[in-house]
Amino acid sequence: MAGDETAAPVPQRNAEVDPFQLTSSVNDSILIRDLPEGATIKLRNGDSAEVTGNPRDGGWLFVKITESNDPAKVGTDDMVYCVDVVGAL
Amino acid sequence: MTSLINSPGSSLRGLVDLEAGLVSREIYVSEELYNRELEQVWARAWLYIGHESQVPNVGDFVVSRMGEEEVILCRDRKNELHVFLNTCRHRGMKVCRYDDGNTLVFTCPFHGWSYDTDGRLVGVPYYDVAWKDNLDKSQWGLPEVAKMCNYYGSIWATWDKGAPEFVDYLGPYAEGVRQCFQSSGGEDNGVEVFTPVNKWFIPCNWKFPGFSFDGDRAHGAMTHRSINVAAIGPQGDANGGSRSGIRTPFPQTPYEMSVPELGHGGHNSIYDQPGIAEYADTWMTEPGVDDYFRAQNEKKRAKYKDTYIVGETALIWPNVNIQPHRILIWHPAGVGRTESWRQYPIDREAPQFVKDAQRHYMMRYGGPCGLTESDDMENWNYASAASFGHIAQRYPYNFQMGVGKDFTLDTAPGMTLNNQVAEENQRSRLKRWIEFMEADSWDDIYPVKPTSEWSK
Repeated sequence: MAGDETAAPVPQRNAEVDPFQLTSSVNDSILIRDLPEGATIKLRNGDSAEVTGNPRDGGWLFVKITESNDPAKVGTDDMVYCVDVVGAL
Repeated sequence: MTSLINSPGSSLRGLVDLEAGLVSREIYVSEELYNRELEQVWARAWLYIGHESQVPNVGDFVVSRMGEEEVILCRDRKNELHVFLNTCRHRGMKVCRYDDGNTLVFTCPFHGWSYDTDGRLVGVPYYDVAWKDNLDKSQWGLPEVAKMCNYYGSIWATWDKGAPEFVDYLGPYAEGVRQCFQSSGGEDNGVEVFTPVNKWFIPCNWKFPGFSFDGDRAHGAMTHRSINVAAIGPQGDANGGSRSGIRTPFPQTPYEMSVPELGHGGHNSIYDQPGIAEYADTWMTEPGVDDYFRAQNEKKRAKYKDTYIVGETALIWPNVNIQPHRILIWHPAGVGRTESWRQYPIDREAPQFVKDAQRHYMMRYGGPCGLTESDDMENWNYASAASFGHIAQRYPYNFQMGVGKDFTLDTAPGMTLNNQVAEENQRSRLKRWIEFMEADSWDDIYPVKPTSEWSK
């Protein structure tokens, strides 16, 4: 209710750490589902990765990390969930 | 015979009197007994899952059933076969909603938990931010069967780690089941199955078909009389027609045979001489098919020229009938409901026109639209409905045919025999049913010898 000072405060979302912010978009699932092997994706944590397998379930991708602030991660295989993918090249 | 299940001091042996040949209808209509079967039978017995030709490539899967529950037969990245329960460990959703296909992972459509084809939980959404300190992924893979066996291409599994090895579960029928998965030329693991699987529901208890198939020779002359006249067999109306192929004359004596200690049994014969019968032309309506099967028959005759064949088809307890060209499975789907599945093996290397001929014949013979099975379904379905009645349950079924006439022969080690028209096999299955229903563990129901000992 506008002007109601007793209303509970609206929780503030922290876009830096909140992994849920993309789940409201249906488009991200479609993007994930159709990504071909060899595509390069950008992850929420800043890493880049190459798609090595796509189960086409709209949720998951098999990837190999190609760029990371953590050198130990480069070249490793991983699975990434749709909400952690922020873009594809 | 009145209801004994809920009577003080009652036992299942009061419902099934095999010496007198009297069986209460209650075992086919009781919800309580059905629910007890889920644990005592279906969570314990070796069950037929499918055929490896259904999953030839890495990542291939097919959904099957064990009792009431769906399982996934799949081939993992290392080419190993697995059988998993089709349910997510998080909230229970099916992780596979397709009948068959190829996949990298099984991802739950509910919250996204994802399982590798070897069953490991490999993907948990928000793992790093929400689960990491609580969830040990290594402990939350898909539930896998306790034992699985690839028996000459046929896949079997059990949920009970105390079960005997599958070949010992088969006992004297081990060789017969092996031969059912041979090509018509006698090559082991020489068949594939037609896909997709025939599946349909019938309104009867699973024990109606499960306990009578390959154990009820007396029904054929009456139940299938019209189909015999219709000449649906591959020879058409040659030799008067039939629903089946032409039987080759080969010195033999047919019996009802079973292994009461194991529950298996079938319409089997003792052959008076070793070897395989000479091929008799059968496919008069399908040009060229006899040429193929005749050549294959020569190969098999050469392989088995010194071997006495015993066994052949069999109902493998509790719910699958194995034949060279048909695999019949009856899954429980409620006390008065059964899901029938049919698979049809065919020589893997047969030319396509032979495969087509075999498939067409099987379609008109068996399955949901097959004329012969339509006959059977009418009996089972109406018998089941008529057995649910309050008054009807006062009257037991009669299983007295051949009681006390059983015998053994040295030429059929491990088998109990009876007249070719008898109900010996059905009584053997009922005996095994009681044993399973009353047993605390496999220790109570496997006092028999390993397969290698049966012939001694």
